[in-house]
Amino acid sequence: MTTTVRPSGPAPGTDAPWLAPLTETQLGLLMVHRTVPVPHLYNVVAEIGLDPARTDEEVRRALAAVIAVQPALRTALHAAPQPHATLADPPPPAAVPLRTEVTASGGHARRLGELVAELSTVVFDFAAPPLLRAVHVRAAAGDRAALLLVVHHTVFDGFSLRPLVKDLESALAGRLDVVALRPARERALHRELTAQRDAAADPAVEAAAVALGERLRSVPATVLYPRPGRPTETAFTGRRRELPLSPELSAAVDRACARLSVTPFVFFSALHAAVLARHSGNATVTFGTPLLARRTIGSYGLCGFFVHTLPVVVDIDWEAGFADWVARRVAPEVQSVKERAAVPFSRIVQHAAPDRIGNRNPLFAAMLAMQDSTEVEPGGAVLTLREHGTGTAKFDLWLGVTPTAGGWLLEVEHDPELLPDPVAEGVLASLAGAVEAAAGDPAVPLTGLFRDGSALPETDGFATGPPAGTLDGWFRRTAARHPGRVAVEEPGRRLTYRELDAAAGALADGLARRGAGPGTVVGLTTSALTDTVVTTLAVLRLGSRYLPLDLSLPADRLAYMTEKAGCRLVVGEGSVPGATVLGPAEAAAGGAPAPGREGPAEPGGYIMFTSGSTGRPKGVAMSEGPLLNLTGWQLAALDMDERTRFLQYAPLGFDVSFQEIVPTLLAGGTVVSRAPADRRDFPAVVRRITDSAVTHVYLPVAALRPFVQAARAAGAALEGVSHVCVSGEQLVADREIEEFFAERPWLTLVNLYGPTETHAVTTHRLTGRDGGWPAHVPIGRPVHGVTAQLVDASGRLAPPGVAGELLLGGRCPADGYINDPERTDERFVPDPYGPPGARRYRTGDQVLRDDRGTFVFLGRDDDQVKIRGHRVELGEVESAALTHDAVREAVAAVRGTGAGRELLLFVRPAAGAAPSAGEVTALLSGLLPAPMVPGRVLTVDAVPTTGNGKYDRPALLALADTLIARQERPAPEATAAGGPLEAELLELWSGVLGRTDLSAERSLLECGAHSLNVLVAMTTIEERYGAHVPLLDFFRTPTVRALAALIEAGR
Amino acid sequence: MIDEAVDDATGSDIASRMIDAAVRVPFTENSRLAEVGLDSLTLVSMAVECAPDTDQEIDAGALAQLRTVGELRQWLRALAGGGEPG
Repeated sequence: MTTTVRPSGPAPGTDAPWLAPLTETQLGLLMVHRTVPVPHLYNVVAEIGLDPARTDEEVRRALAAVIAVQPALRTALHAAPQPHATLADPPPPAAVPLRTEVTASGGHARRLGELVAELSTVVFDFAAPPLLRAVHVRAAAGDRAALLLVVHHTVFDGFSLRPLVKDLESALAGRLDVVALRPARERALHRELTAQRDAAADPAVEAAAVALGERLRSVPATVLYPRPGRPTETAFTGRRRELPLSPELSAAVDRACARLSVTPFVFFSALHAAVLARHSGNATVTFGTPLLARRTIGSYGLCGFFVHTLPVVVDIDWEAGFADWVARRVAPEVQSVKERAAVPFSRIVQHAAPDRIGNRNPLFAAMLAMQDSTEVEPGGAVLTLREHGTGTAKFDLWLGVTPTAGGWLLEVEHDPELLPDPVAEGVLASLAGAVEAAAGDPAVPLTGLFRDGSALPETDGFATGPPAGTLDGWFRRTAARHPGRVAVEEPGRRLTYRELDAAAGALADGLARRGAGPGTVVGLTTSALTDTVVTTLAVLRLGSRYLPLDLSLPADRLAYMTEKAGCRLVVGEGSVPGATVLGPAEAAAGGAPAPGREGPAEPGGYIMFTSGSTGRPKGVAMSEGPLLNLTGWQLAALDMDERTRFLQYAPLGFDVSFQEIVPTLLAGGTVVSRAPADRRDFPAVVRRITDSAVTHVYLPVAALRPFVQAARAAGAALEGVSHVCVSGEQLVADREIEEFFAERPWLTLVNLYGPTETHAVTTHRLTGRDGGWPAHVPIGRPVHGVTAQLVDASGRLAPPGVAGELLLGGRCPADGYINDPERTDERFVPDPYGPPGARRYRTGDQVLRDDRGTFVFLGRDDDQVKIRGHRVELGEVESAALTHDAVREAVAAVRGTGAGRELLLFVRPAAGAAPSAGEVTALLSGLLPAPMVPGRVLTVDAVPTTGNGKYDRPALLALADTLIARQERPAPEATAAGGPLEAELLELWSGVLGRTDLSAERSLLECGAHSLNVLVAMTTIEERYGAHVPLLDFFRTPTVRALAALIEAGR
Repeated sequence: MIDEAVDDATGSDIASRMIDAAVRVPFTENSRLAEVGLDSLTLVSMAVECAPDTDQEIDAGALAQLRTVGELRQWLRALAGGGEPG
């Protein structure tokens, strides 16, 4: 409950002034009014088409009469000392807030639009009724007239249009008995407000609110266009799009409702839920719907705000038929929601205890409103009635459904900051398709409601046609063109193209004599770069596949790899179970070249084993077709030619090594060894790059930051470098990385994405000149020749902004997993969008296309970090924490499951600094949405890393309990009030919350504060201290201490 | 309950007169409200006309639970009688 003293007012009929309680819903709206940046967000604007013969004076008198008999329009709303409403006397006709206007011929419609826009932005003072403004607009030609009205929603729900228009009609006809009606209506409003208050106190209402809260807590938030960096606060601008259904389609909808034996409300709820499921990717979706919650019979003649918005939660079953799903899931849910119409919204919020995301509605991103109060009786002075959008959007997505004389009118209102136009158009297209499909055949499968939402995306625009049909053929042409240039160099050894070609030829001959050839696999354990390059080319020349083998792997793993790949022959060093290992010289030795072998009978490729987090590693058999395509793209995209000097950084067992070596050789450039630098010694790597004039660097994402830090520490300008490529995991560009590139505008950062099964397939480029880098860097657009398809939850190509699994076809999929037809068939599947026989690879990665058509990686299907349904990007949390000067390193990690899932942040302070957990949390609260703000910030002396340089999160999580215990040792000053202001505030809150155990640092929300009593308290505080307290700031850190600081700041 | 409100099982009391006026298709006591075209706003307006006392309350939850014409008839009769509809 919100109040301890309840104004119930005098008994109606006495002479004492009229005083009534506000409803919880009214109070909630006053609260929203305080927190949103748009004071006119809850204006209701209606256009009443009038008989043009009515004079301004007639309309003025009629409106005065309506205001006299509609007491809600005359109420003043007060939040403090206790929430209550008072009543003003009816204004005389001359004082009615009505303007009159005559429009020039031909300009009537335009002027109406302008006036609607003007009325939309009227700001009401809740203490100064009437909360209504009107304009009577007549066309000069005398053929059209309208009464435009704006009323604040706190006193006017959608149903109120009915009694308002009915009274207006009567008044214009001279039938409105103001003298009799006024006291009866004032009494009725008082009775209704009191009934509302009493109903809210019903234990059954509280029990229903608890149940609804529990249900909401158990389902993920329905987030549309769930991209990283999605705004959490918006300006609430709105755009409306109309989808009028034709009379034929409208009739089909009605027939479908009859056939399904459901109301239109259920039918459109089902469609709305299916559309939301498609566009959010959720299997359970939530939307709000306003329900009439009037109680007394007398209230149905009144204007007023007696609506409760309730959550509709629908489970989606994509396997089901529409009719069956509606009967089993949607109709029962709608029924149960209607039965709970008495539960006020604010009470649900209280029990759902949602994460408050910025200034958005805490429970719903989407709404469905059945607008059934715009019919007018024929034959009167009121000819038409319609409600207008006000250029605002209270929700991310709102769907209004209105029956009109011409059929059903669907309207979609969206907030373009959250749903940009291309995304909203996609939603509308889904809705249009779904209405047609479901109305046409109610038994349609749920997946049949939708059509493909987009065409296949365009590529990034770079391509060079391969000049030869094989990699080896291409290499020979290049080698012949400049035989004297250096192809490979490492400390103490370099090979010219002539030498490399000869050595590769000799080794190919030697390997051929030992049985290598098309269809065979040759292992590589070479340690010197020159040997590696020679062997790679030799194997490709034979039409064989090379298999990099890392001798540091356990013997049984190596045995599995050679056995699975059918590899009997290895070039290099060490010993490999199940295979013969020959040194490069040894393998090349032994007699004359085999005769007549100019080129391979068929192109070769490589085998690379994916690490595979579960099960045994899979050997990806990649062939030359995709590699030729990739090389052709890479030479153009990375601007590679004979001047290119590409650092060979990647371990050979990673497919990136191919991109470092082979395209460089085909371009006529030089492959430069990383040695003598150790892979993890970044200062040494930077020195190597500078000393050997490297032009291209390709790093794992995890190495970019240490690389950037090392280069900055060394003062390395890297003038010779043109491209820094990264891949391997999601790239999060923090401030330091962006600054590094801004200081070096000649560098292009290329973010590449591609699983081993397809090699690199999409890219996104950034330079320091761009400015304003997204923290979560997109993976960009497809490489030339690659078809990238996003298949959404409904099984169709995803519309813009919809997450889907990425499937890759065209010239990129590998042949499959070597000697593993079963797993190959599982992941390499037919491509219905390609030519006959085309295949595509299922990545298992969730990706979406943003509103500009750029791919954004969201995570693995199975491994997304979500806290209470909200995607959490650990890298983004870390990147935000690093903006604190005292934080040197930051690692976010998640522990626990379900509702107990908790986000932790480990920080290593900069030398000599000691950032407090509160400081870091406050900083993050300002930068990140609530679910991404860590529950705890823990300080560590060092951040452990794994073998490949990634943060060791399990090791950090193992430390968590010890660190928390250390942090929680009580600091004695935390409980006491810090000054007189804090002491006064503690006393005030003790009164509001009815408890004495508050402390300055404890969260007031945990002690029973909620939006309604916060509003009461804040109104009191503002009156007492003359300070404006930004409510959202209070909700970020809801303690007395923080509140005192806000008051001091606001005075 | 006011005696005049009910003549017989499906007789000419105010509830029955309103149902007869509102439903344009053949129906039985077991006909579902959605099938005979009675939506919640129509039910509300019937209730408003039936109830003799404007202070009487109707509970939207109870209204939502009405499924059949027969249930509606009973509920409207209770309202017309000034009793607690349920």
